[in-house]
Amino acid sequence: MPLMTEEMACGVRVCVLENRLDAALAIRFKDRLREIAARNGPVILLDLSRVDFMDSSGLGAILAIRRTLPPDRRIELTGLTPNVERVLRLTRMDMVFVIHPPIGPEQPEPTARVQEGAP
Amino acid sequence: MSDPDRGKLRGFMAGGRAPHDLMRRAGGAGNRRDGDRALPAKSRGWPMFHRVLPADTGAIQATLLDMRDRFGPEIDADALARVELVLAEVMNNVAQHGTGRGKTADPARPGRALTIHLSVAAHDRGLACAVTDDGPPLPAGCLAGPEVERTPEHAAMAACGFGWMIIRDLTQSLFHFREDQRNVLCFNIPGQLQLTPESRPDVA
Repeated sequence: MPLMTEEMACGVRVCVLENRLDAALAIRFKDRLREIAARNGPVILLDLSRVDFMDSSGLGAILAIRRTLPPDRRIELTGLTPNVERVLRLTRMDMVFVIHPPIGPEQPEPTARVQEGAP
Repeated sequence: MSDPDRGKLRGFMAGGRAPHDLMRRAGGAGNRRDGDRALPAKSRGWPMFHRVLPADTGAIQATLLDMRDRFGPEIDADALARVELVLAEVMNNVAQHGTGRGKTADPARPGRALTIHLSVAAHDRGLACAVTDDGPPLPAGCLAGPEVERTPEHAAMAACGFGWMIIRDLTQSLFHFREDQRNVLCFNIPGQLQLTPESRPDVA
């Protein structure tokens, strides 16, 4: 499950490098995200800009990690594609997560870049 | 229509006895004459997409990608995205709950080996879908939805029930019945699908 992490002042950005976050990948995604969330924070900024398909299994994986986070850590979202945004809206999870606009080129360079996981 | 069938049709026409309406019935509405040859029109849309697949998440993913290849990119991209999402929810429910394997849907876990039959037909007002499976009966209440709506935070903590929420919101004419030990779920995904001029039947 390829994920890329970038350290930020407030925590870590986790970029999902898969274009599908579905039931076939949800368990592996959840395991990788859990590992990252355990050693980073307080903000885990999940960048979904490359994900053009997500179903309720992908959403469920994110929520499962959110539920187990300690109170001082939180998952926030960025880079929602139209299909991902639709799932969040239909399930009303857009009211639960802090959602940021896509990260543009004007953003400061991350302090470190680590490739996580095998493709 | 296969090539041998097409050959039979031409042979039928060459006999000169086929009335035009009979010809249409034999080959399906939408056939047309082009010179001396009877050619099937490109249909009123696209050929039906049909698959029989095991109820596991990998086969479901592959089937959805095949469906995209069949209908896209000419079809309304938004309708295609909605049908893909709804079918993922419907079929993954079978893989996870129908098999008894739970959310991991791990084929290595003990569970029922189920078979899904999927049919999707594009028409000018959307995509008509039928999904059947040989699992246990669908629990009552899935189609109707909960009587009391959860707050978003409660729903987030429970982290379940989202699949049916999506299915109910994105479908029209959703209905379910049992037939021959199978669940049959039918619905329409609405959309104004643009038929290209050459795909319109041109026989009066």
